[in-house]
Amino acid sequence: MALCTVKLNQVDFTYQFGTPFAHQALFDLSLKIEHGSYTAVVGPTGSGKSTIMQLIDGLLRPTKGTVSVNGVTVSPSSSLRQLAALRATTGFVFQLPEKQLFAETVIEDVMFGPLNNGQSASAARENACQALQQVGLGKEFEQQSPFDLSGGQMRRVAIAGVLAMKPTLLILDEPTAGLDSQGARQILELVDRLHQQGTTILLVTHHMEQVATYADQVVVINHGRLAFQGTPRKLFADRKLLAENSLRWPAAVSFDHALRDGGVHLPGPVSLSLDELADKLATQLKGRDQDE
Amino acid sequence: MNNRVVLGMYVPTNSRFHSLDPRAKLLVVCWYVVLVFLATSLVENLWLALILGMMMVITKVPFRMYWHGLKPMAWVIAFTVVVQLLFSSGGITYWYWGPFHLTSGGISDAGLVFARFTLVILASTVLTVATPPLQLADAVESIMKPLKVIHVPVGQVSLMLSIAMRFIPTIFDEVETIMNAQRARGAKFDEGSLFKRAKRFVSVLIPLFVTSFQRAEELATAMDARDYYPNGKRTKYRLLRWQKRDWVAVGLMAFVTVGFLVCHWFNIAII
Repeated sequence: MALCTVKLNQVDFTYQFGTPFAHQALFDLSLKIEHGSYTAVVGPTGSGKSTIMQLIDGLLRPTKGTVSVNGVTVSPSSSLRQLAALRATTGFVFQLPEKQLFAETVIEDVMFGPLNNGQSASAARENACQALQQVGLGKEFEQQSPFDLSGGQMRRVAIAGVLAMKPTLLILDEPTAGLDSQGARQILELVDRLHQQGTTILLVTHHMEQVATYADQVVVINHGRLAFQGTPRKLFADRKLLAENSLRWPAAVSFDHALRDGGVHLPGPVSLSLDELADKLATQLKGRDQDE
Repeated sequence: MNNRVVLGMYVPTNSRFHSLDPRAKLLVVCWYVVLVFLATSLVENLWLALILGMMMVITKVPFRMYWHGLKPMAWVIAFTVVVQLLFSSGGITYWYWGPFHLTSGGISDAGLVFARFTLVILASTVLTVATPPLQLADAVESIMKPLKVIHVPVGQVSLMLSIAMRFIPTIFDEVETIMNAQRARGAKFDEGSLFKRAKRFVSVLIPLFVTSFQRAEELATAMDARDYYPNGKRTKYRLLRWQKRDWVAVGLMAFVTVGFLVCHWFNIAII
């Protein structure tokens, strides 16, 4: 049995609990994220994805149930300090993270996290340089003001600010929103590299292509409840589930379904990428050639 | 989504007070505040407190919300009351030590300051919990209309007011998000000395300023794109209608004032 990094046990969460504005966002949600996995979290806007991420990072306190991350458990009665302990090994890249930049130079901004964690200035600088390299920003950026950079570069600085803290669990909330396709690919490749180096990844996304290409687990949240947890292949094979949660199919999956509906016999489960589909079709066509 | 209750935030209920014209509510509360400042005796203040209590009940807003409105000011009130207690003179001196005097005059001054602070804050909370901010801005515009004669740009002032009010919750949300993003990077806003906390707050203020200016610029562009002309004549989507119940509300205030005068005379009579 693989180790669980994140465990949510029957969690309820209500915003503004006990006021006339109370609004329940999560209902009896139980969830396990295995160590070293790459989990995509999908669901319609307002389904509670971001709330779950904030609970995992100790930014919100569960109204009911418990949240454990890397061995630290919090409950509704935990203090703020205990909540902060959840953050020790977790990195959280927010939506539009470039909004959090504040320092005069790029390097100072990236050093903010490590310094807050009590590292010495030299260790923090070293980690910051390393993180900037990881996101593909060279030495020449270090002394620039973050506000002079392009949108994509600002985002990478913000991500470096999280990576500099060397998290073992990395949460990314729609990290590619508003980026051009090249910028988006760079960030996804970076995340993939981090995953291969052993970081557990939680990726909130609306792009099913990203789910099909990168993730090894998918969690579907709908109306504050867990609708599905399993492999992307299992999710994309289940048309009813996709329709119920208003999820779009990746191109390869819709091709695959359309071909099967049209009477083309494809071997094995649903294809997740166009390459995979092409391979299947190729062997299929070759087989037919040999028959004739 | 924001997870905190903002001071004096609008709480929708189906109360009679909520359904009044915002101008009537503004007038009633301003009138009440004037009475609070005119009150000098215990009897007058008790009468006003009774009226305020009734207003709070009529709004159907839980008392806890009022407490939330009062709580941030508690230290200011406590500080002022203590200063009044120890430094005012007049009347009989009960106790003194160095520059500190505890006198009967000081005690009554302190009581008065306490009553004024609490009543005024609670009265303004009654207004804001029962009136959506944009309606309040409309009411101010409507009341300021006569000033157009002396070339006060009433329309522009009220537009600025509406924009400011409209963006209070947005900015609160923004503060929360930025604080969370910095917390996720290990910032601890509630630990350490005052100086350290202030320094850490820079990491929230700068992004907040940057996004606020960006938003202002975008809003200005959007208004330009819709051909906004500052002196243009424009109609209202939400019309304010003065109804019978608004006269009743103002009439009740007149009754409260009569009661206040009775208390005033009563007070003079017993002295």
